[in-house]
Amino acid sequence: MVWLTWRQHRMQVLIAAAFLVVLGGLLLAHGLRTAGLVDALAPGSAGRRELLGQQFIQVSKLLIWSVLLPALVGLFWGTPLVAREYERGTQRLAWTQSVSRRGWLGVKLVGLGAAVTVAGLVFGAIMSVWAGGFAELRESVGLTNLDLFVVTGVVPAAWWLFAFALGAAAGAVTRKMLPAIAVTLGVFLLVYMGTFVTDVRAHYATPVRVAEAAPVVRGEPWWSINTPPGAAAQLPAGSLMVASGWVDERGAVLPSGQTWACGSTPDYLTCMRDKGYSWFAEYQPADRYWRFQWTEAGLLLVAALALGGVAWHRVTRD
Amino acid sequence: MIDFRLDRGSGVATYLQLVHQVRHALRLGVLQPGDRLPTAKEVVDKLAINPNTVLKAYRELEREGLVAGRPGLGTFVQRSLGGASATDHARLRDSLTGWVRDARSAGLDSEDLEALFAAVVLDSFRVGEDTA
Amino acid sequence: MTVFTATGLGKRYRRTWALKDCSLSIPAGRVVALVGPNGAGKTTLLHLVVGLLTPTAGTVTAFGQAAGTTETLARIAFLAQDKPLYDGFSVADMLRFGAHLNPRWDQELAEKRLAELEIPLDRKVGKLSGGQQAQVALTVALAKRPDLLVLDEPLANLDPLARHEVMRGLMAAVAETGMTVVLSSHVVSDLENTCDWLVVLNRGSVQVSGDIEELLAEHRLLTGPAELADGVAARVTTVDESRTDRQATLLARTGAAAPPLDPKWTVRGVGLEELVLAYLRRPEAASLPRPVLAGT
Repeated sequence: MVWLTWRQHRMQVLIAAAFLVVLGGLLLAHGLRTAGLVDALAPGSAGRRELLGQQFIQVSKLLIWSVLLPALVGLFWGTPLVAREYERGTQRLAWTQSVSRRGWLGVKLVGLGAAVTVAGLVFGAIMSVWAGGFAELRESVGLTNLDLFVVTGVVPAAWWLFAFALGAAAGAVTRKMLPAIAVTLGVFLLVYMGTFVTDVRAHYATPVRVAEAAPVVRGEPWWSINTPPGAAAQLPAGSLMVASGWVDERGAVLPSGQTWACGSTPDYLTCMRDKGYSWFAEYQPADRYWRFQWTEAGLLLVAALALGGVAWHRVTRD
Repeated sequence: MIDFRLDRGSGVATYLQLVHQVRHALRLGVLQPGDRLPTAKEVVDKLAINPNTVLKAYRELEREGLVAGRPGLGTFVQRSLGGASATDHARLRDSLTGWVRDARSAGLDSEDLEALFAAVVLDSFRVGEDTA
Repeated sequence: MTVFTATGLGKRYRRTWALKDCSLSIPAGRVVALVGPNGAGKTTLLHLVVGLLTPTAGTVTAFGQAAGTTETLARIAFLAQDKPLYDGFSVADMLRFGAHLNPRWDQELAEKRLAELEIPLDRKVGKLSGGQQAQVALTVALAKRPDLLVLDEPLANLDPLARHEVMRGLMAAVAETGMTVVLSSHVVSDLENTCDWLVVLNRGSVQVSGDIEELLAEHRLLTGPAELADGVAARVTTVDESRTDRQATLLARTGAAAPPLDPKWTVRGVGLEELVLAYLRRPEAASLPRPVLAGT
């Protein structure tokens, strides 16, 4: 059964391995080149920071495509698992040898699930190591960059496993490749994009709240200071901004309409202060990175197990 | 070794066809006592029939005392059929060939010949002539 | 020893019952012909026997155990309709597949058989001809050394030579191992000289299940004057009849001995195909008594 799983899915495994090798090579080269470029410049200097920033952008602008990786996993590892057997009719061959249906599905789910997880962990490790070279940049540390959060650490492995389980479940339910592909892609994109749209990561834990974070700055036009300038800089490095705004003396948050009370006064901040309003911010500090990683991984793992259960139920039922 | 054939359209049960073919072979001397009959597997390999049919035919022949099965070795012919020896067969065949030639020159076709022959055979066996 | 038994077996898909109240018992060592028109439920019955489906009603057991358990799976080999194989696998891969998934695998037998059929081991299965693919699929089933071999329409879509080759291979395997074979077909003539047990399935029910020789010995075709037909029909179990205003022809189950009849009747035996056609034409006729459930 282990042999059969390998023989039927070896292409997927080999392609994934090849991809990881190539990616690792490319990022290694990029990282080394960056290190070489920056070597001459003094640590902490603006020039060094700028150079690092330029190098960082080269890769980070591609991170938006990172959604493709788990989607492809769902497509090529998950959907064919059951759907292709039904579509080709080979389940009538595979399930009438001497291995029960449970044995067949169990080995495939566990075996391929483990392979997917390992591949995802390797990917996450590669990205973490690469990102580590840019630790001096604000935009690369901790939780500030969610695009980076999703491809580093253990979270990618969880997404890949989730997509795999989703594909397997979709295939087990629809028993045909095309509908399974449609369902897998549709649901996956919905969930994945949904986490960004709803900013779900900001709420993995109760955020830390600070008030009066903003210094008084004179002469700034009102439209640029709804979030006071430098406010982000006031937050610890690497933190994820959750919410910000103004509170009155009693601590009640001002609805946005009332923040126009000071209109376009140049001394917007002084005006707000005079009214007794103070500025607050809520954020997730950078040291929660691993906690959030495990939170997201845990949620996805539970979802993956549930989906695996769906596939199991549908296959062993009739 | 005997080569079995199957006449699928004849309406005669397969196992009977095999029995008849063995008997026929015995009569003609194609099969002699001590000869081995093909195994069920060998017959089935050529004819694609149910092996039980072959076994049934052999059991019938065994019941008639014509063959005997030896476990592990095969099925062997026990005795020949007909009261005549091979030389008798040859002599009778010759005289029959002469009769047929005679009848044909008298103008009989093959159906006339068969009808005449069948009538004479029937008469002889019915009346119970003792030919000895 | 019975090789499989169905008791009150039924299978429903959504609203329709593909099989309804089927009861039959197949003795070991037979070559069973499962015949019936398309849609009669042959595939459903076979899938239930090999554990690909679970019954909606009734039970099916193989070798005394519930069908579909690993013990029965190991003893039964199944060749599904249109003989599925993994197209991307080579022939050798298909053998490895069998070897890895079956404890009782005979690699030597498989290789020898394929060599005799001149099928190369390194060829991709998808590149073989239809007849060759059928032989590979059959080889995978035979090398499992099953006690029961089940085949769903194995001769469909094969040219006459390939059909002959498949039957030949099957019969040779039966001669060698004494295994039981169940094969379904909707062409009766393919099965005449090879099968010795007949099961007729019609509209989801079992009409006939019996030894072919016995069945043929117990049925006769009676031809006689139309005015006497009713009288005769009352005395024998008529399966099928046709009448003109002068003459009536009855295919009847008379039992082993011909019934006493007016000399105006001619009696003759029936062939297998005739017998099957007669039953298929009359779905209500059954050669079996309806099973009586305990307690009713």
